[in-house]
Amino acid sequence: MVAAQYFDTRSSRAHPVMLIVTGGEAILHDAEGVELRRAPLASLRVSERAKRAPRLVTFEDGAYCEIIDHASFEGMLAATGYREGVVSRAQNSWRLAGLSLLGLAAFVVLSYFYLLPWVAAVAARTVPPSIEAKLGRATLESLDNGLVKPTGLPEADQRRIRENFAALRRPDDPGHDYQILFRRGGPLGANALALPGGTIVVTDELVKLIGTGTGMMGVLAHEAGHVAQRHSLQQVFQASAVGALAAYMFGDVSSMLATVPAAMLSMRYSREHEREADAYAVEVLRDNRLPVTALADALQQLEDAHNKGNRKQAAGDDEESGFFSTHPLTRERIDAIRNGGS
Amino acid sequence: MQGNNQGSHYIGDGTPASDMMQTAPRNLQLSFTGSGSEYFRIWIVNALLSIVTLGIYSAWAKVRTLQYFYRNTRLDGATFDYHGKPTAILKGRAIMFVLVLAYNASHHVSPYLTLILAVALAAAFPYLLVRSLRFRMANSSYRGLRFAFTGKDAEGYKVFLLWPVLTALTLYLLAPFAHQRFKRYQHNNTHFGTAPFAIDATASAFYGVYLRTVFMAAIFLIGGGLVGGSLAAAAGRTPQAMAMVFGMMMIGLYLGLMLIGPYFTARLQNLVWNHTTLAPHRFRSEVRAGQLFFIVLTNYILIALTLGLFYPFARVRSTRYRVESMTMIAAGPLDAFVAGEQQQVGALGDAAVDWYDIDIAL
Repeated sequence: MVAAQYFDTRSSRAHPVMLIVTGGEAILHDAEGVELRRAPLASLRVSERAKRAPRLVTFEDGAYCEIIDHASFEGMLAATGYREGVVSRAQNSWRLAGLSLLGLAAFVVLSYFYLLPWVAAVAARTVPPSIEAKLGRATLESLDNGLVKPTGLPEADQRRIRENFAALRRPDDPGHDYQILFRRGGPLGANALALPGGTIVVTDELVKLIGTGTGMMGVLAHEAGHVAQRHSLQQVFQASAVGALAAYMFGDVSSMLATVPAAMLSMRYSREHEREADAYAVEVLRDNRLPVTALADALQQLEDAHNKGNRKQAAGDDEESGFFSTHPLTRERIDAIRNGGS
Repeated sequence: MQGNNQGSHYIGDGTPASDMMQTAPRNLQLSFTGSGSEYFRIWIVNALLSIVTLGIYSAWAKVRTLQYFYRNTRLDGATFDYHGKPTAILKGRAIMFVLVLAYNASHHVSPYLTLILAVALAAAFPYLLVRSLRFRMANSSYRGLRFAFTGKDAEGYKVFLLWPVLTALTLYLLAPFAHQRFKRYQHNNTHFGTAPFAIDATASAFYGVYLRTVFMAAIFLIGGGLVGGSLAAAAGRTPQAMAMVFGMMMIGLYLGLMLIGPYFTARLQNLVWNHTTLAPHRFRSEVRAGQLFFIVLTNYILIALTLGLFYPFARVRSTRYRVESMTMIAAGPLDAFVAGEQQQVGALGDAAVDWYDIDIAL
């Protein structure tokens, strides 16, 4: 027996009642002991356990009792063999809530390191080549529309680079149409970009820096690695997913707060991709009996050139920001390539 | 169990005339019985299940959250309740998800398609917002009686499309006016059972709140500029120093604008609720801007320090303050309201509002 307030949903009047459970039925008595209504236990809905919010026992027609004597009510519930749901138990137990927190953290960490890259790779593979090519053309257009200018490289050099690249033995990749385009880099400096679909953009400054020989082939093989594994598409998927999750977790507080972690987290993915492209390049160079050190030297030359031109360069800086981010250069990568070749 | 049937006259939809003269007005303060620690556990389980189910559980999470906040709001010894069905909300969210996906993907088919879709969505939006108000109200109850929103679509289009567009065209000079029209539309068309709410706040009162807020923002901007300028002068003209000062100014400005929010919220809540009535009863809201400002500031700091884990505590703190600043000045007992017609409302509108993160708070 427990005291309650009964609301019949037809008026706002609160009726003080006593709730009794006997013989599989719930019975409501008013203050004078007159029976107001009775109903089988199976037809009642009980609200979840709460600290100070009232427990609600709702009848089939929507009328309900508000109970604030939690202790007595829970005693009654236990006596009827009522089992509360898993979610309710978890919400009311610090231990289970703590476990949920750990579970959540573990799930997020696992997804970030394994699940999301795997899903992004699968998704990138299922994108039809025509759409990938369209994306590549759109990217090229936006590059041409402001960032880079038409090339000033002599025809002979362009032809030599294209012929050398075509002569390279590379893993079969029928889905992509490998084309090498040349542009005057401007703000990009000495750089090479792999666009989705197979187009590789090489800047005049890069050719001036490392020439048209094996070093250039190594760099082109690296870019071909990006193309073959569709890294730019993967990057788009991964960045959007991370961004969406950050917005979900922190968006309630502030949308600006959400973009910072998203940007930081996406950067790690590009390091993985660089490593994969380096490995691909090393494979190709070895397959064609070309010295792997040529690629390492080319990267070293690039890093030196960037260091010279960049007075704000901090020692041991892992990822440069701004326009260097399309081709992060690190000590580790150069060492890994040298080791891979030996 | 039905209302008083002694044959006395009923005035309007409230208590009988005889009763009204006998009871003096009572001040019934709203109270909030929720606690941050309790809500934290609900919130963390919600987050885990929502992420693991890739968002499907979020409909259940929303219902749990609203039920928690409603059922912990007490007035005159009884609590509110929320009745939205998670499956209905899930359906609404799924439809919105498909629509948004289609809109984003239409880009690749043709830019004209995107334009057409954008116009169509803009045209449908007021319709969805009206449905969302109806859904939220029809699924909210107090003492077992449901609320209801009976606003007409035609006026909804004026409030959600016409006035916002005009506001944008007049460089936001019409914003307070549009806001007043929205609150009028919302409160004048909401019922508790058969009893109507009413609001009589004037547009000029809204202009007052907006102008005071803009004035405070201007003070922040000017103050920030002065501080930044003197710092720049002191630090010298090197590029690094300039960049740092500029960065600090941006952070200061951003923080300042974030905190103008509580001032605006406080003044607005007071304005709206001090001018709202429900049959013979009135309301009073006494949110103090300074207090709310302090709560919001400490919330932000603690949320940042705990990497977001303080969020549920923060939400309970601000909700408690805002709810407990409200009092209902009851002209008589609250037990003579009568149920109105049951409204059946789908959840599509509610999902649309959710998606675009608009808070239509009563």
